Amino acid sequence: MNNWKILLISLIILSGIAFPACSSGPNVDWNLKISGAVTKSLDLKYQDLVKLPQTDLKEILMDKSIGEDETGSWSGVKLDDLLKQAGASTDFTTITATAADGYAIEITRDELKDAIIALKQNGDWIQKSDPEHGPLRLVCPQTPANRWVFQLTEIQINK
Amino acid sequence: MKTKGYFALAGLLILALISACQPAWAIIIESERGNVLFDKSDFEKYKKEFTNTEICPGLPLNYILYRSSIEVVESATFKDTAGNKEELDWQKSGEKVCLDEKGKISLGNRKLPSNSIKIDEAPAGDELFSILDIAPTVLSALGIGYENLPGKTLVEGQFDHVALIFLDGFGYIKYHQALENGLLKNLSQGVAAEKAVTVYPPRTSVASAAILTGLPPTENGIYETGIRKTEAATIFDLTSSSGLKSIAVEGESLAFNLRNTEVILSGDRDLNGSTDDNVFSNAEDVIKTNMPDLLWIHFHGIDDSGHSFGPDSEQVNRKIIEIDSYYGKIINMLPENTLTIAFADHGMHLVNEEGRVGNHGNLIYDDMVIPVFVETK
Repeated sequence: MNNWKILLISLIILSGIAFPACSSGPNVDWNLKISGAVTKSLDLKYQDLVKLPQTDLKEILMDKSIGEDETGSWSGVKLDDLLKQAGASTDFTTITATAADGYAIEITRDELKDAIIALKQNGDWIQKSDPEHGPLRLVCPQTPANRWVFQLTEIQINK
Repeated sequence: MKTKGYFALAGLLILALISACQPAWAIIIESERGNVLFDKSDFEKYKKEFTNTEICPGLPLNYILYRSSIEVVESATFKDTAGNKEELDWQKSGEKVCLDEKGKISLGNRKLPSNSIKIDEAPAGDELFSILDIAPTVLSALGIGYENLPGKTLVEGQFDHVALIFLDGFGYIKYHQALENGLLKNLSQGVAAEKAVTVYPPRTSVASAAILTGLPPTENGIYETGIRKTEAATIFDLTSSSGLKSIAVEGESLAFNLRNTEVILSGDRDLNGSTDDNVFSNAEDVIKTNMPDLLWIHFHGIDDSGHSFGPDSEQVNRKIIEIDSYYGKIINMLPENTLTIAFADHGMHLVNEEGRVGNHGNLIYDDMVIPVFVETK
């Protein structure tokens, strides 16, 4: 009976450690700003994004300008959901996506169809499997990969 | 303990023997500049500089030639001591010729004779300027001090403003054809087009870094696409630290990260399939309302059309006419006492690649030789 008690207590302790570790994503100090033509600018922590509903994109072709094209799956938060949350202007024309190292690209609205802010690539947290391209990557499945800004820090909405 | 010591010593000796027994090799590179002996130690040194393995697991021969001061290749003849000889047209094959760590040269899976290479350089002319001349020209024109830049100044004197107009992908061959076919109304008027050579590999980010720093890739650290920032000081850094203002009007994205300047991106907001009209519109606003000391304007359309339709396509010619017209309007709008330098970063050649009809990246005239237009107002 004592052994069962020990086993049960151990399982409870283990689940206390394992469940949050599995569901909350890696411990990353990273922020994403949504700014520009919005009613409310957002400054989201990585952990905020982990908690939001996640969308899976499967068998997505990554059309690369250098090297071999790749096909893979991506999971993350729908860009549309974040734009709604920020109250993005309904008549915005483009967004400017900026990376941590200063790289920036202006992307037209029609290229953003089905876009997500990806946290996972092929089932793994990008921060763990490919930290140089993580923790957040803008994935725009309808466009070549030069628009898939990695180490994403800001999305500015342009009218 | 003693036995262990003997084993360790024996191991060290075996290692030393193995490394001493590695076959030494050397390749003679013959060109108009004289003969260069390239050996294993050079290979190891260059391999540390050029770590990209997408072209070759070893080193692209182009990189070795470029580091041997050869900038424009027409053909190369490979020979070995057994009397084998093979000549390659560099435009067709040059980009894929590789050298491995054993001193063997190959083209794809095919081995080439590997004892000596005779390079026939393309006649690019005697008065060849350099893309590295742009930075010292800008800094000198704005009265900003600089040190240890290898380039020379293209004009004397100081100016209130400098405008840099970046004509992406407009190689010298294309410029010359456009001039002969009457496509240019402005880039040929009152402008001296200097023939200049860009840096290897002739790609936008590599050339941008060379323009901004005035330094070659070995010194600014940008030797391939994908490296987006340099530790070296740029003309924007020096302009800013001198208390002067700069603005960069870019296309939809930054080919190379720009710091210490105000960046204006010009996405295709009107959805007409081009960003050049957006770049022009943003540049026009800046010139009319907020002309800085240093203005950078980057037109991408000739390069974009060249990749999609080929360098000799009607689409490229239409782009040249459009951008030439923007150039004329910009020159008219610029204030007095402005130095304008328009330049390309690289040219382009016809390819047969999936999704591309034109590309650049080879050590050939089409890709490496560019025009630099200097105009004063």
